[in-house]
Amino acid sequence: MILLPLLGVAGQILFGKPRGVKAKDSALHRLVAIGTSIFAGIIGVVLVVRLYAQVGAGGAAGISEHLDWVGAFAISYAVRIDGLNALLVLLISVVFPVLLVSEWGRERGARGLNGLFLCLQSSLYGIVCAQDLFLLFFFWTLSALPIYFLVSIWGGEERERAGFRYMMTASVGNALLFCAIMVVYYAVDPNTFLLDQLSDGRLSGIRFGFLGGSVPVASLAFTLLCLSMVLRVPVWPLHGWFSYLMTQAPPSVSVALCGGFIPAAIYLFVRLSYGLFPFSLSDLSPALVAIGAFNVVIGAVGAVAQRDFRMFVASLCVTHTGLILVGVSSLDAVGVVGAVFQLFAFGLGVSGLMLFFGILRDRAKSSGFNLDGPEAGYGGVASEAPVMAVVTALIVASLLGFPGFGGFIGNALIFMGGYSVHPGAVLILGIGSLLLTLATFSVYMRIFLGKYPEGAKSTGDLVIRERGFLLPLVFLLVLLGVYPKPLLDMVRPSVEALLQLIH
Amino acid sequence: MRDWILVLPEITLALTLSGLLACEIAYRGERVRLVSAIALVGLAAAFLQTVVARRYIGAEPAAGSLAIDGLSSYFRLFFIALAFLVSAMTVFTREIAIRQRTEYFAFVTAGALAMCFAAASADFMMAFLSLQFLNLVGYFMAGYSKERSVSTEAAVKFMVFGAASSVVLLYAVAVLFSVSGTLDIYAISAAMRAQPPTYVTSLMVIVLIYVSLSFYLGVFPMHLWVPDVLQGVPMPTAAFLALGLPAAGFSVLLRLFMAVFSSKGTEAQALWPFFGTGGWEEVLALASGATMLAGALLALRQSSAKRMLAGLVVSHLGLLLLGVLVLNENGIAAVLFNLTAQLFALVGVFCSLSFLYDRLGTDRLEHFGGVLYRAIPECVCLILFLACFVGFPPFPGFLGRFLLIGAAVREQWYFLAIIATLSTVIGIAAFLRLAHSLGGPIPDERVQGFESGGAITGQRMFLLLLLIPLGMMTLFAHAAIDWAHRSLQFQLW
Amino acid sequence: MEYVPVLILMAAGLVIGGAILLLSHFAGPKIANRFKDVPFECGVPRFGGAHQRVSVRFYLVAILFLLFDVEAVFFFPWAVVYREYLSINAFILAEMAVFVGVLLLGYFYILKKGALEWD
Repeated sequence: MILLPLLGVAGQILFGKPRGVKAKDSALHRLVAIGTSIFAGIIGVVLVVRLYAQVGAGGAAGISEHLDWVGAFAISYAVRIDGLNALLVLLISVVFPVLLVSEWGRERGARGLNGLFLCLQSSLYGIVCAQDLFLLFFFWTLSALPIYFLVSIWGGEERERAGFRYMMTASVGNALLFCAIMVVYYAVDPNTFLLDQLSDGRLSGIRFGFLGGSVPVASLAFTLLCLSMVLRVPVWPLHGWFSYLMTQAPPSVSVALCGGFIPAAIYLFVRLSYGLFPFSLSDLSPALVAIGAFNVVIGAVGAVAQRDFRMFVASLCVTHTGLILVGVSSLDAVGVVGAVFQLFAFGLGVSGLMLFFGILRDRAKSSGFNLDGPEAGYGGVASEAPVMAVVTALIVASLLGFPGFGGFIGNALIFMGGYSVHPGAVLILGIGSLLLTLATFSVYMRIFLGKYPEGAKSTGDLVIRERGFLLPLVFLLVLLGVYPKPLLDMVRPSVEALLQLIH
Repeated sequence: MRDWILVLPEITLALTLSGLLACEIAYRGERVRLVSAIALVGLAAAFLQTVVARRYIGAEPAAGSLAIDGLSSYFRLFFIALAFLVSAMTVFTREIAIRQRTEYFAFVTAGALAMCFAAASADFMMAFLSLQFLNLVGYFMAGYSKERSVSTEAAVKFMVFGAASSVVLLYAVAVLFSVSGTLDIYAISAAMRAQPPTYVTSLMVIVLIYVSLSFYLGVFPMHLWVPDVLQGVPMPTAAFLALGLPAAGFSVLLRLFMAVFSSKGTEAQALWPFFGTGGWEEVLALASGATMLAGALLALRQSSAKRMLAGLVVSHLGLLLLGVLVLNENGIAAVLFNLTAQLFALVGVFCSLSFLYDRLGTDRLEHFGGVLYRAIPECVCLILFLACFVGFPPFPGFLGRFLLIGAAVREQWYFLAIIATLSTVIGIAAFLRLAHSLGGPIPDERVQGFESGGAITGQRMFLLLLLIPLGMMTLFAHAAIDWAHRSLQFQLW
Repeated sequence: MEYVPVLILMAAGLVIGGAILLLSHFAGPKIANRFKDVPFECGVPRFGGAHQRVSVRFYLVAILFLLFDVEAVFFFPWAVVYREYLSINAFILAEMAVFVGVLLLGYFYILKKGALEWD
C-alpha cells in the first residue's frame, strides 16, 4: 500500500529514460512521468483520507507498514503516515504533479529532468513517511543528489559552482546526521533504528564514554542534528549556499526545493527532536525561538532590499523558516500545530510564486531578473495579463497571512502559540511580518502595476495549461483558509501525543 | 575423488589458460572472436564449478597445502567473476588491439588462477608461490601498452614494490618457521598456541607480514603504486589490478589473521583473541586511518580521471582494512559484502570510462566537458557506478560503508569511525568534481553523438547488466550479508 | 689455532700487493702522454664508440635459458629419490611426465611465436 508510491515513483526513472529516442517532441514519456506522479499523489491522498477517517473514529496511531530489511543490524522498512506527516504527504502529492505539468514545454533534456524530479519525489515521500532512522537517512541523503544534478545541468550561468557548493554543504550536513544517528543507535542496548522504540524519553539518561569523559547521548545527538539541519535548511548565519542556489536554479527546481524539500526537512526536525530528544529540545527552546525570530526579521529586511526576484524569494523562504521555527520551538500544542499547518501553506504558496515567475520569465524571455531599471522589462503586466495578476495576488495574500487564506491560519496559530510562552518573540514576528508585507507589495507593484514599457514584447495571459496547474494551488490555499478544520483535526492528536513527553 | 572435485575450478582455469595459449599459436586473424568465446566459456565453467564445489566443503582440508573452505570458496567466486567481467570488458575496449587479445585473456586467466591459489593456500610456501605468480602476471599486465612510457613507468614501479614486498614476506615466513618448525598454517598456529612467542617476535612478524601484504592491499606503507599503475595501464587491466590484487591480499591476510594469529571466540560477536598481543591493533588502526585520509585527499586534486579513481580506491581499501581491524564476524562479513559491491561498481566505472577514453583519447577532466550530452547512457552509468563506489544511498556501497563503520563503532574505534566518515565526504567531493566535469552548457541543437552501431549496443547492455546486481544487492541486502556470514562459518581452524 | 697460517698468508698477500701498488703510485714517474690515456685494446688502435647496441635476442635467449635451466634444477631432487619411489608404483614417473609436459607446452609456444628465430 505504501510501497506503491515509493517504488512506482522510483521505477519511473527506468521507464522514462529509454523512451522517445528520436522524437524530441514525443509526449509519451511526459505523460508517463506526469501519470506516475499523479498516481502516486492520488495514493497519498487516499491514505490521508483514510487517516482522517481513523482519527475521526478516535484512533491516533496512523497507517503504517513494516518489513525487515537487514535483520542483523535491525534495519527495517518501517513507514507510517500519521497526523504530523499527513499534510506533508498532501503537499508533495500536489506540488510534484503540478511541477511536472509546468515543465511540459521544455524540449531538451525533458526525460532526464522528469526522471530526476520523480526521484526527488520518491525520496521526499521517504523522508516524510519513514519511521526507521536508517531508512530516513537513506532517503535524506538520496534527496541531495537529484537537486545537484537538476541545478548543475539546467541552471543559470554559474550553476556548477552553486551546485557544487550546495552539494558540499549538504554532504557535510549528511555526515553530521550520520554521526548523530550512529550515536543514537549504539547508545540503546538492543540496538535499534526504529523511532517508536527510541522515543518516550529513552535517550534522556544515557551517557557514553568518549575520549575519557562521559557525554550525555541526547545532547550530543541533538547538537549534531541541529548542526546538520542548519546546513540543509536556510537559517540565517549559514544560508549563503541557499541564496546562491536559488539564483542559479531554474524556477521549477526552486519550487521543488522551497516547496517540497524545506517543508520536509523542517518536519524531520520536528519529528526527531520531539520524538527522540524532548528534554534537550525543551532546554534549548528559548534559543531556538530567538533564532527563529531573528531569522524572520533578517529575512524581511533582506527581502525589502532585494532587486532580484529570486533573491527575494530566497529571503522569503528564510523568513518563513524562521516563522515556522518559532512555532516549532514554542513547545505549545497550538504553536506546533500552527507550524505544521504553515508548512503546508507555505509550501503551496512559494510553489505558486516561483511557478508564476517561471511563466513570466518564459514569456518575457529576458535573462535578467532585476526589477528596476528600463531594461528590466517588467512592469505593468497587469494590463496585459489580468488573470495572472489576480492569481498571483491571491498567492501573495496567502503568503502574507491575509485572512481567508491558508497562510493566515498558520500565522495566527503560531502567533497564538508563541505568545503564551515568548511574548517578545511574537512581537518581533509581528514586526517582521510587517516588513515582509512592505517588501512583497513593492515587488508586486513593480511587476504588475505601473506602465508597460514600450518596445517590449507583449506577454500573453495564462493559457489553459498554466491555469490548469496554478488554479489548483490557489484553490487549495483558499480552501485551507476557509475550512481548515479537517486538517487541523488530523494534526492535533499526533502533536499532543508528542508533547506529552514534555509536559 | 572428493579432493578432485574441490580443486576442479583451478583445473578448469589451468585448462582454459593452456587452451588460450594454444589458440594464440594456432589461430590468426579472423578467428579471434572464437578466442573470446573460449575465454568467456572457460571462465564461466570455472565459476559454475566453484558453485558446485561449495556443496562438498567439509570440515577437513582438501589437500595438504590447499584449504578449500567457505572463505576461499567465496574468494574463488570473486576472482573468477572478476576475470569474467574483465574479459567481457576487453572485448569492448579499443585499447587492446584484436591481435593482442588472446594473450591478454591468457594473462587475465593466469591472474585469476594465481589469485585462487592464493586465497586457498594453507601453507606458507603455497601462499608465497601463488603471490609471486600473481606478481609476475601483474608485472606483465602493468607494462602491457609498450608504446606508452607511462605504462613502462607503471610496470617498473609495480615491480620494485612487488619485489620489496616479497622479500619482506619471505623474511617473515622464515621467522615463523624458526619459531614453529613447519610451514603449514594450522601447524604453526598450534605451535604458537602451545608455546607463545615473545612480544618482540610476534610484533615483528605481524608488522613484517602486514607491510608485505600492504603492497597487495594498496594501503598505507605501500600505496604509492596504485595511482601510477592505474593511470598507465589500459582500462580492463586497471579494473583487474585494482580489484583483484587487493582482494587477493585480503584473502591471505584474513586467513593468516584468523587461522594463525587468533582463535575463534566462543560467541559469534566476540572479538577474537590475538596472540602475543603485539600491539597489532595500533599498527593496523594507524595504517587504516592514514590510508583513508591519504586516498581521499589524493583523489581530490587530481586532474586525470584514472588517478582520481585510484585515490578513491585507496581510500576504500583503507576502509576495508578497518573491517579487518575489527576481527570478528561482523567486521569480516562487512568486508566481504563491500568487496562484492565494489566488484560490480568498479568494473562498471572502468567500463564506462573506457568507452569515453576510446572516443576522446584522453582521461583528463578538463577534456570531458560536454560529453554528457553526447553519450548519455554511458555517462549516466558512470555517475551511478561511481556514486555506488563512494557510498551514496540507494546503492549497496552505502550499506557497506554503514556496516563497516558500524562494526568499528561497536568495538569503540570512534576516532577511526570519524575519519572514515570524513574520508567519505571528501570522496563525495571528488566524485562531484568528476560528475561536474562531464557536464557543460546544454547544446542548443541536437549534438552529434558518438557513432552508434553494434559494438556500442553491446557495451551498453553490459553496463546495464552490471547495474542489476547492484540493485539486487540493495534490495536483498539481508541475503547478501547472510551469505557472507555463512562463508565465515565454514572456517577451518 | 691451525688456521693461523691462512691468516698469515692473507696478510702477506694484502701487504705485498698493496705495497707494490702504493710504491708505484708514489715513487713512479708521472709523464702524461696522449697515447697512454687511450683505452687498451690489445695494441690495436680503437675505432667506434663504446656504446654498441646489442641485439635484444641475446636477452631473449638468456631469459629462456634461465627458465629452462630452473626446470632442469627441479630434475635433480627428483632424480635422487626416483629409484626409491619407483619401487612403490609408477606415480612418480607420471608426475614428472606431467611436469615435463607442461614445460613442453611452453616450449612449443615459444617455438611458434618465433622467440628462437635469430632474425
